[in-house]
Amino acid sequence: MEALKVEGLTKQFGGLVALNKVTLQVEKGELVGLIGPNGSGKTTFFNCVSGFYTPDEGHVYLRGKKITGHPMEKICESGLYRSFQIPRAFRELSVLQNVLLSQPHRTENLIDILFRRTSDVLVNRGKEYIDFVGLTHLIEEPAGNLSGGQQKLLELASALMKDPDIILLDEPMGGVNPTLINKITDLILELNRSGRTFLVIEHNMEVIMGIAQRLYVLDHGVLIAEGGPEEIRNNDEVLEAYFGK
Amino acid sequence: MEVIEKAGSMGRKGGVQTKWVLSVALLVLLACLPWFIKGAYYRHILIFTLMYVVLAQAWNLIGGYAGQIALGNAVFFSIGAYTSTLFLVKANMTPWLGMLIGGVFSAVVSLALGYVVLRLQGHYFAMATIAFNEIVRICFANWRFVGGAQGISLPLHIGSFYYMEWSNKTPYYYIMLFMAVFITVFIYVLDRSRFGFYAKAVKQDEIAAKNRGISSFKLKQLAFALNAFFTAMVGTFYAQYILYISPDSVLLTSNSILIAVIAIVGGFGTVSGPILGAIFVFPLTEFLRAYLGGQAMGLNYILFGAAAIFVVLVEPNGFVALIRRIRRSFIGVKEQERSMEVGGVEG
Amino acid sequence: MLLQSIVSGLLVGTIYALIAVGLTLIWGIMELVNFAHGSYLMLAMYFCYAMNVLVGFDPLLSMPIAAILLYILGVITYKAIIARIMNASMLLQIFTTVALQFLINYIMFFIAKPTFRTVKISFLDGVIRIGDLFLDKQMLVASVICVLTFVFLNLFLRYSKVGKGIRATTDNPRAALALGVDIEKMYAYTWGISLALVAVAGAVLCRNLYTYPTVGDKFGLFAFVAVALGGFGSVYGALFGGLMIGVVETIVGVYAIPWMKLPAVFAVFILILVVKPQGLLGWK
Repeated sequence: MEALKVEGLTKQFGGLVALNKVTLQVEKGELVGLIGPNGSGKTTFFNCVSGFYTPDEGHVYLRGKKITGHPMEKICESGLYRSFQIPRAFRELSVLQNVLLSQPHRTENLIDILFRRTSDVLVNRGKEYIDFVGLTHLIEEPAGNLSGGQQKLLELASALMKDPDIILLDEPMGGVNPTLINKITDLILELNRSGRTFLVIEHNMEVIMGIAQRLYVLDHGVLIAEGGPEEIRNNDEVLEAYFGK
Repeated sequence: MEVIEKAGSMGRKGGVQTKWVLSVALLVLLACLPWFIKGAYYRHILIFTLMYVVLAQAWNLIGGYAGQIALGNAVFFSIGAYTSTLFLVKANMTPWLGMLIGGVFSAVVSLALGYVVLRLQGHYFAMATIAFNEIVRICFANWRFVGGAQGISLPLHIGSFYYMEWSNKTPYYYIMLFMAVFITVFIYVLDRSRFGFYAKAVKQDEIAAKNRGISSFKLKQLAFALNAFFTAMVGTFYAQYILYISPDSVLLTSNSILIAVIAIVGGFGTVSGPILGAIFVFPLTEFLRAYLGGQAMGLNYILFGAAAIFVVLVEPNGFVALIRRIRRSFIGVKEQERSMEVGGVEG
Repeated sequence: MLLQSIVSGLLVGTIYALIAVGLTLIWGIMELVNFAHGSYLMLAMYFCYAMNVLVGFDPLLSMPIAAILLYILGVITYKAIIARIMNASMLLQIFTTVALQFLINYIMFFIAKPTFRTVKISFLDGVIRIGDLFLDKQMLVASVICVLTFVFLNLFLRYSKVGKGIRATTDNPRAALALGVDIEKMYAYTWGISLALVAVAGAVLCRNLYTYPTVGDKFGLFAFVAVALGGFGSVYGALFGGLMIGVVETIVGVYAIPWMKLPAVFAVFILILVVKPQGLLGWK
């Protein structure tokens, strides 16, 4: 079964149709890209899938389970992690604390919340992920002091801590300096190789063409193409959407 | 083990050590106070101050940690006071049990109210709590079962443990002292547990917290219910201490606001803030009232109101932060970095 | 009988509306809820009372002076306090006006003591009869004054430079800034105007009501309700809300149990906040 299946997703804002019957799926272990010109609705799509918005029509299935319209926190706990385009780290909490916030919440009871701290097992796991993304030297640093790129790495570690079925990355390379881009790309590839599922929005064509196995192209809220990087590169409609006739 | 050089300079370990020593010393002092302070007036001040400490600490849970400014706590206070009193008057039940029942009932009411209003954004939530407070006040003032506007005078059973009434203020003092210590310790534990951790995250960025799977709503519900529970227990105590309750004494919205102001002026979201706030508002300003006599009615509160504005303009994080600032300016920057709490893993 | 209630309700509603307008203006332009609104009303009432006792002025005579004084007070409040917290967290902003309410109420407690004061008024006593309706003269006059003030306010907002500036800043602060509007000044003006409006209502009210330190609280709360009913930020909404409250309050008072007037209004308030924060009319 697919990690993520979206059927006929539609979202309107007043008179504007931001998403029009978008249907796509991501199989387990895939790295799928979602591209399209500015304003095509990519982030809106993520918002609808992750529970930030409630779609007007359509359904979202996570590993076969319907999650359409569920609140954000429930969807996250169900196994979908979404990162934001502009990183939303907890600026006054340390890097370690930021990652530990992703500890499982569903299984907690009242006593846990009131009286217990994060278990050592989870703390160590957090530290491992921080090490994986290369932020160990900043582990006690307040997240607000990190650079944009470092915050993206932090977001990645936080995502991993959640052990989600699928990770939705919204422009992971956006505003990141070139050296870090390579690092982030490598990390994503490595994670994908070890079985992690990704759906990535990205503007940086070079990067996304290089790492995605499959791509979906969105234009004005409509899915206009689907296929491997080569197919998409040569697709007239796609070229038109980006560059005009 | 680091040597504690002077009160001012504290390394992190040393800081925690000093805190513990000071706290225990303070506790011992407080426990012995009734030996030194015999005057009824002064004892009354102590008792009321402790009451405010507990009320402010309870408020802190919903206001400081969950970040929702609740301005209707008088309702929970009254639920406690009226529940235990009614059980006492109608069923001769001991207020000790009535206190617990009142606390639970209050928590239940808070859950019901919270379900409706906790999703409201800050301003709206504050207004809704004020409105709720007024609704309850007016209803109680017109409800014969609870004594209406006349209120209820508690039956006299002086000197009885069962009826929680004594002629001597000492037992009252110890009850309040116990509650104050209990709730302070409770909040201290909460601050360092997941509750405090998640609350801090939600306060910084609620959406981001929800994105990680934290239900900010459930957190707020929990905070609100705990707040209601503790506030109600103080309500019962008040009834047993003053021996008279009425809508105009326990259901005033201005009391609800007073509690919030105390907690915030002291420093909300911290463990010792409400204590500072309570100490400032009651004893200090009471002495002022004593000095200036009856003409100074309300002067204490004016000072407090001025202090509140002062806090707003100068140090929004309350007296706690103000003291920290002053301490830092004496110690200097280096020490500041060392003594700043990079709170444990949980923060 | 029903018509009588509705008309009486509308009359009283105009006063609520006037108080509410000030609140909604501040909310509209800076997204701030002035929890101290009722307290300023109380100040206006005390001023008119004082003028009545000291100089023998009928409050209607003191009204312009009260309006000017409260205008100045509003500007001072903005510049000294509100301006400093414009960028602070919502919690702090809420706390600021709450603390103001606290402070002002207790200052008056101290100065005036919690005794009930009445103003001695010499004219406009009695009842007018129009058809089947009996209208209290005081109420009528009060209502007319409020309506006139409201109309005047609208004209001001529509045609005066400051009024346009206020509306521009309310609708689109960035555009207003780009067009050269001095936002800071607009904020100050709004605070001044808001309190001046409240002064008018206060002058009118103190003729009929007891003046005491917490008299403003109920009206402040009603102002919140009115604004919620009409939609936060909408001037006409505030009018609508105020009128509605007046009518609901009167009708409940006449047809249902009288003491349920206020709880009914407040219950409706909570309902609106939860269900439709854009107000019954759906205005922003």
